[in-house]
Amino acid sequence: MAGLSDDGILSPGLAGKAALVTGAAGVIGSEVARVLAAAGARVFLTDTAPGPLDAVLADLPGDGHHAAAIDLGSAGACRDAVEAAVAALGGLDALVAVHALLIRRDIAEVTEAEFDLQMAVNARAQFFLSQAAIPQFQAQGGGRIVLYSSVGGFVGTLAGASAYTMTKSAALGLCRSIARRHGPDGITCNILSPGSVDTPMLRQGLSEDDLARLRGAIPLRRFGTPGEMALATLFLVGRWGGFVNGQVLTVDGGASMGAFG
Amino acid sequence: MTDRGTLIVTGAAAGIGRAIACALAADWPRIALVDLDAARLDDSLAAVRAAGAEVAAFGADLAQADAADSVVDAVRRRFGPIGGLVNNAGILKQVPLSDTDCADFDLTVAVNLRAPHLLIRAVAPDMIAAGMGAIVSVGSSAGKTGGSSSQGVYGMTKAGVICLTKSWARALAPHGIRVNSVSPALIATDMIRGLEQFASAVPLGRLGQPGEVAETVAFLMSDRAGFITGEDIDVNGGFLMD
Repeated sequence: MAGLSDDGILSPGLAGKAALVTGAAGVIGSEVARVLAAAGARVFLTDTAPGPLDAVLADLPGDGHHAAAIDLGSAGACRDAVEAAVAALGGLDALVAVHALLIRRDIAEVTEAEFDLQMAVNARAQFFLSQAAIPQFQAQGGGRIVLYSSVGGFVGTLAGASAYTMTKSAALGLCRSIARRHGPDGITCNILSPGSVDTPMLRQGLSEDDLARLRGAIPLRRFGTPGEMALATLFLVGRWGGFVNGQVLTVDGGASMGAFG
Repeated sequence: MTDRGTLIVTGAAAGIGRAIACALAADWPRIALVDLDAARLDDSLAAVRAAGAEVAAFGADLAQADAADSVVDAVRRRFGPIGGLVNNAGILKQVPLSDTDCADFDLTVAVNLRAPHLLIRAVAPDMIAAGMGAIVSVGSSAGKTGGSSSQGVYGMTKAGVICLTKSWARALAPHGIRVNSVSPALIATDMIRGLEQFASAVPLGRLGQPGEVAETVAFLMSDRAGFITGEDIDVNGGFLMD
């Protein structure tokens, strides 16, 4: 059957592949790392603090994983992260940029420093991580980039996340530019767009009433799980997603389909 | 593994439909293949059987208003309650809009849009009773771009499929049933014969394979996509990014 490999439909084809996962100490990032590792990939983890990162690393299935505490707030640090991953893993097949910073503040109260920090950590880092990874992918004949955005980046948010949301919209232009410019290099670039996932970031600054209202607006009537984000990421990184390029994969229980939920 | 019930795949005689049935054989123990003429399903039956599923062929002319209910009844009698549905059957008549008459219009709408609706309506009670289910319908990039000037009605029906998906997703989500679509473009099948030159318009620089659409359908039909509903995944190599 054309397009189906001999090793069966359920194999993601990631055995021995090398992946860089940012934000890997977080609730979603760590689950992404675990799922990729369970699928046979060797994973390079980054996050800001070494302690939680080491705990995730110790827990990963399989061998050959590495971790480094890197603050991705500067372009240089993004290049360092990619170089360290390539050196440690002996190459790179996938970049999964999960990390993000949310400072919950109403539009009227966001300071310039808070705005710049979220822009740098979220949008600018996705750009410079990709910029650093692309030559490596070109040298290897292809690669996969998954940029984490957020449903809020497409429909807007109410709960004091305007600056964060703006950084998440920025992922779209980057994704599609890479998809067009580097598709011929065998590189796919897609966006994973989570809706409301039950994480500390979601709960930050929200009351139980707020959370119940959010949950009630989701057609499936529940929050997503980190595992569900990780498995959707695996789809895009694994061979299943080979012809998916420049797209937004929304994983939100139907919340962003529109009104009348 | 939980028994997820019986899977129905329409338009399963060739191309993308056959690839979908094969890709899903690992997850679904009982698969009903539907196409216009059951005799045309022999090759697909053999391929799906080789992949490990119990499988049977059902002939149905989905242009007929009563075909959906009849074929779902027949499948249910043979294999038990329906837990999965892939609406893949579709027709593309390359006719300039100015020459599209009432019969062409009605036929395309009946097969591409009305039949998926009626099939979802027919299988929904089984899924509601089970408290779970997964449905994927095959749309098309033409549903977003209008396709070529000879694909106007086809594109219109595919836009309808994408919308129908969201409406049913909303209706069935409270029952734990997920409804999604995939929108392929420039996949190497008989349907696009003659369009090979458009491969250069695909950022990945090639046509897609039926198996690549099938793998996306398999993902959406699986529990791996447990929080995804009302979503459309484009499988087009970047041909259309929307």
